[in-house]
Amino acid sequence: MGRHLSLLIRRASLLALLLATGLSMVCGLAALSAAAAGSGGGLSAEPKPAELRVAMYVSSHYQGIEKVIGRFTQKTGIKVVFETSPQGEPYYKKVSSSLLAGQATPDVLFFNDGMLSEFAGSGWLEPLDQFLANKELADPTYDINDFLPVLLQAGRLAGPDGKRQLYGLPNEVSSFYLWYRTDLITNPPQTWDEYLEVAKKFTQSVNPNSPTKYGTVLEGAANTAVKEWLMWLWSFGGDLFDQQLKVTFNSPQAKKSLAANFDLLLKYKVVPPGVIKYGHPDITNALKTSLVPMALKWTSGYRDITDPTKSPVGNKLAVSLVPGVRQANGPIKRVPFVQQWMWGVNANSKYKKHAFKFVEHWTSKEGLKAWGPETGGVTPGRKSILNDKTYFAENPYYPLHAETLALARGVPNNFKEWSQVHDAILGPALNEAVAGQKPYDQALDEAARSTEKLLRDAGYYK
Amino acid sequence: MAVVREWTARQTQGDVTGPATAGERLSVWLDRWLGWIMLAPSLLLLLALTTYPTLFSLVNSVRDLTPFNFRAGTAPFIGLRNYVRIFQDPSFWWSAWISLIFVFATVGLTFLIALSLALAIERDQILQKILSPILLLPLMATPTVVGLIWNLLLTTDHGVVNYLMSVAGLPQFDWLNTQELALVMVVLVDVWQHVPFMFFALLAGLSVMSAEPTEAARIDGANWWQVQRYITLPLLTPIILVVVLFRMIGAFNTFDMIYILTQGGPGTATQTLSIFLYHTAFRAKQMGMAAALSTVMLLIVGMMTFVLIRRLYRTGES
Repeated sequence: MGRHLSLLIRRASLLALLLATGLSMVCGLAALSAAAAGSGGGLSAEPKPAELRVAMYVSSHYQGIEKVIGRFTQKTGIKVVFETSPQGEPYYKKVSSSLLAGQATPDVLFFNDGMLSEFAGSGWLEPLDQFLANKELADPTYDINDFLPVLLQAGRLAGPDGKRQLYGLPNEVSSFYLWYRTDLITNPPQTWDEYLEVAKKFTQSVNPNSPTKYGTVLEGAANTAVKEWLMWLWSFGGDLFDQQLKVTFNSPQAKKSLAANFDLLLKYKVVPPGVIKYGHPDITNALKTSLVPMALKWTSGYRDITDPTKSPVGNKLAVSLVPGVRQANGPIKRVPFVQQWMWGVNANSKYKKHAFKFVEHWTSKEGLKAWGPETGGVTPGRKSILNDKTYFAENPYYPLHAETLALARGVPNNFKEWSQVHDAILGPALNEAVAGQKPYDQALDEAARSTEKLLRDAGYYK
Repeated sequence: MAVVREWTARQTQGDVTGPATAGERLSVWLDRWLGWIMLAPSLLLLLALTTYPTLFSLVNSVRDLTPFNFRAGTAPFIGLRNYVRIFQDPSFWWSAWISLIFVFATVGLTFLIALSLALAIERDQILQKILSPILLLPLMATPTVVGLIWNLLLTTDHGVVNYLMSVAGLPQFDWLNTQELALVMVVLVDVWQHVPFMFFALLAGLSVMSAEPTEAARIDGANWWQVQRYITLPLLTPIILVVVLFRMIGAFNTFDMIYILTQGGPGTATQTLSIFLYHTAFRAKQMGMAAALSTVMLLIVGMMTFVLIRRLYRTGES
């Protein structure tokens, strides 16, 4: 009996050992194949998804791609399901909470350079260099060097491992123009001083004969104020940070530029009081409803707002370069703000390679040429398209693009804490200043101190 | 159960032996634990939905948690530093002050209007039938919808309120973007939405109240004010305390309506603790600090509840 029991135990132990070894080998092989699928091999190294889930906000970008998405499905046999939410904070919140929770979807994300620092810095995005370098996967005709270098640069960030990698491929670039009513303004203002004078002329409280109630508008909401102010800041000779990432946005030039920007509301009252909460749709409405004769506004939606069948002032609007500051030697320093939207891949997606193919398709010349015209005012960031006169002859919704892009600047993308600085410190500080809650200088000084503390705690200063 | 009754009867007759058969033992075991077994799903659900998040939040409140280390799980333990940072932050004290004003203003005004309405139409059945459905409307709307409706009504340039003011020859105001007006408007919108809840609760309390004490007081020569002051209000106190408690907790935690109306602005003029918590978590991305702030808010609500419930019990005893 004892011998039988001992034999049984030995056999059971051997079986358990064999099973454990087998299981480890299977797990090891699975891990190896998963690693192989992640770094090399073509599309076949990864299971083909029935559908790809793509996060996008509801806008002209989305309406445009929805019209032509069938081309991708036709080419790849993969259905695309869009996960949409309203533009602005709701979209950002929805996407960031999915990524924070480590969800495998959306597989593909649409994001701007302002979101990149948080998304890539948190390790939520898959670096794209590996896919572009993968000869079995990448399209040899893709031509990454066709993108404007400044846009490719904006898609790069040092990830959690400290390596600077490409996380977003540029889809479109949008910049600020000065929009004005041609029936009211013959010569659009070229400097900020002229801008103020024209605004006064068209403000009824200053000039009772003005056909419009206010002279202009500004974006004063906490999440939009920084972008407009940056155009004033840069043209006044100021900047956000120096080369060592020391805060400079409370310099004398910066304070002067903020005063010039916000005095439009607080001193001269040439903008509607509601601008404290204004974002891009409010600016568009102010122009459409003839509340103002001019405004600094994004290029997006160009075709809609200039279409007389959709906008009552459609055939009376024109665009010009944003104003600036006349330099001592004569020329005007203007710095339009530029923002780009890009596509990236969720680091937790089960179908990263297929997601990359989606990104590749919609940032390729073919994809951009198909999508761009459907958006009604979105311009691709590829040099070959920007220089294609035929393309712009067919789609005359983006004049001045070459001049604007040559002068434009975007948000800093060399440190991952930028979104914290923007969302929690600088944006709210500017909103407090424009609301008259704090003097301009105090708002900037306090914001500078908070930013320095944040960056010091993050280890940027010795 | 018959087995248990039989065994219990045996025990009362002096039989000290336990249940003899397996069936008896199972029945006794079930009799003892059946209540807990039936409660278990609800308790587990409660644990999953309340206790776990609370503990998770408590754990996070002592870690330097940000999106950058959330998924990697590498947020360092920093003891009570998040709590210290909160109490050192002027924004916290400002938000606490705004919350205090908001809670007392909105609950006080809501109570006064609801009580006046309830007393005014207490005995008028026709008015009750007319007013009740109208008053139910704001109660049925979600705070987000309420925020959106009032945002449209109060918009400076195209809002209905300013249009009506201009028609009446009155000056127009920038209701939601002026430092002084924004908080007043937020309070008034909250009052507008919550008067019906308090009104119906108080009216229910008045309707079940015995008429004898008030009739006796009237016979003794008490006027209307004296009857309300010395008879009605003391008898209504338990209901008043319950509705005030509910409203205070609700007002303290209000987020959606304020966020839709002002996002805590202009500047920080309407930034209550709930809005500050949201900004700390999702704008500043200081999730550990936000967890600590939520613990502090839980303690404040707990203290408010404790005081009011103690008062309620004392009223009950007296």
